[in-house]
Amino acid sequence: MNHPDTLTPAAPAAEPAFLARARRILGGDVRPDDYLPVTPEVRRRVDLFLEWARARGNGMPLAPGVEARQERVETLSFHHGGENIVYIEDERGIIVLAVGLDRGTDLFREFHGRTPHTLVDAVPFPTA
Amino acid sequence: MLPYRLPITRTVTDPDPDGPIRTVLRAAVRVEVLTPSGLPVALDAAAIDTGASYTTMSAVRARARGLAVPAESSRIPLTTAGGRATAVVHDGQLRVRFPQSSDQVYTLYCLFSEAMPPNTPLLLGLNNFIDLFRVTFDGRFAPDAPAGHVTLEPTDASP
Repeated sequence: MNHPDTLTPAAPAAEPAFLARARRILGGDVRPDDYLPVTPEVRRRVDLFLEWARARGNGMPLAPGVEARQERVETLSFHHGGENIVYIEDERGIIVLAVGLDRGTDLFREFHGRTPHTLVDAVPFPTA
Repeated sequence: MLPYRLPITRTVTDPDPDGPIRTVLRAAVRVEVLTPSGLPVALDAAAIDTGASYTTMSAVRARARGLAVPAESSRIPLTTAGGRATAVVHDGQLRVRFPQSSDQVYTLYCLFSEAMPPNTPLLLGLNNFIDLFRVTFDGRFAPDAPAGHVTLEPTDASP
């Protein structure tokens, strides 16, 4: 996600911090701490799932991709379960660009159709 | 690629520390809903809900994402897990495609509900979803889907 994105609109004089951050990221300036972190709590939940899955399969090996898929679900749920968010995703992880319906609306209004990235509108499963 | 084979998602929750851990199974799929201008809005994750008579989406969320919500409204009795209530709804359509075959657009009859909070997933209900897709739930273990999977097969009524 380091390619310069000439489609990303230029910033207005003053804009909310979340839009400025989104503009930076969609413009190709992605930093490691932009990604949702896989915390120890997330890891524990993934490990519990894998333990259950392996037991259910009676020792049959799980397919590649199962762990990553569960980690993705648990990461989204842990950080933003039950919230309206807009995110993008690449092979390194998930970057949330807006939290809350109204911010998501502002983000879509500014960038939808003007970036090669897919803006995903989501409400991750709540964890509680 | 058709048919769509969707792993069932399994997570656990702890809604009451004094009660048991709860297991939550969900059959959900990412869909792209087309706005009137043809721009796709990716929604993750739409829930396949055989307990819902209609495909239903929060009217507030739909408007916020630029989808066409008809102005005309009516009232409909809704029976949910929480009881029976009356909701204001707008009868409309969603033009939907799946990432697995993004050139194919399906038109789903949809109720846009004013009573549904915006942080509720799009529900893919029976009417007219099962006209277009044969839906099979299979909860058996598979190496790529430990909690089972759902298969969506287009019927001959699909475009």
